[in-house]
Amino acid sequence: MSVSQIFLVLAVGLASLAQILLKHGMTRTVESRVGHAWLRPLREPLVLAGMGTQVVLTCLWLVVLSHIDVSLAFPVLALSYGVVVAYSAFSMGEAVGKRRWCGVALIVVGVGVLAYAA
Amino acid sequence: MRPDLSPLRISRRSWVSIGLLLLSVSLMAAGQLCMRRGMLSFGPIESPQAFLNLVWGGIVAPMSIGFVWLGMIVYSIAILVWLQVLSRMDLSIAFPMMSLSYVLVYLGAALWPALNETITVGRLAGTGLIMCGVALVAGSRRG
Repeated sequence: MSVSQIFLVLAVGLASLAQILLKHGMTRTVESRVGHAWLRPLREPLVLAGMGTQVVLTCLWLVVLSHIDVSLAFPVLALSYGVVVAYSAFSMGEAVGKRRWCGVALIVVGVGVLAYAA
Repeated sequence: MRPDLSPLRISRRSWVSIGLLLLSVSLMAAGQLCMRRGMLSFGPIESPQAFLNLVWGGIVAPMSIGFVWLGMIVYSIAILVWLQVLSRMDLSIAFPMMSLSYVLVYLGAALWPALNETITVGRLAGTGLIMCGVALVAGSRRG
């Protein structure tokens, strides 16, 4: 595996982690009701951790983009859909039914086709 | 008799959520395209040294990687809007809707000659599958 491919895999993990951190953080933000609505998230450590993860992700991402077409590299990030939807269903108790799972599966297959067509 | 349209009625709050979602997704796609445009000019990063050159160059001469900066600024705005979307919707609905940005990135990459990207039937098919997946996810409320 080349460095850009390893970074691409790392980016999938970081993208999933960032979304999960942001969701937990924003849920707590909504409950807190302190300060202005658009500034409130910045008081929440989990939101800041999610944003920090996005910063690291951006650095990795620029390296990836220096090597690979954006129309090919960007879709690979969709693998994080599986991670995030599974997490939100099993760990956060959000309602995820068959149709939504099928939709996610189609998206992941579509990304696979895009990557394969490269 | 007038048909009962109440199940189709979408609240004002939902319209705002949908608008914010579309805005965020469009900005994300635009940000990606700009970042790729900038990195294409900079050239492949093969070493940590090259990455430091990118960061240092970006600080002392921001316009040397203007497209990268523009892309990151646009992407940051997209994330701020995205935070508002997350506070209004289930993550398992909102997050897959982000895949609309794959279609937008693909179209943008095809229509921006400077990016020099290839259009093939296979890539179009993949994009179509993604759109179907998005429709399924967006069309199912609970289950």
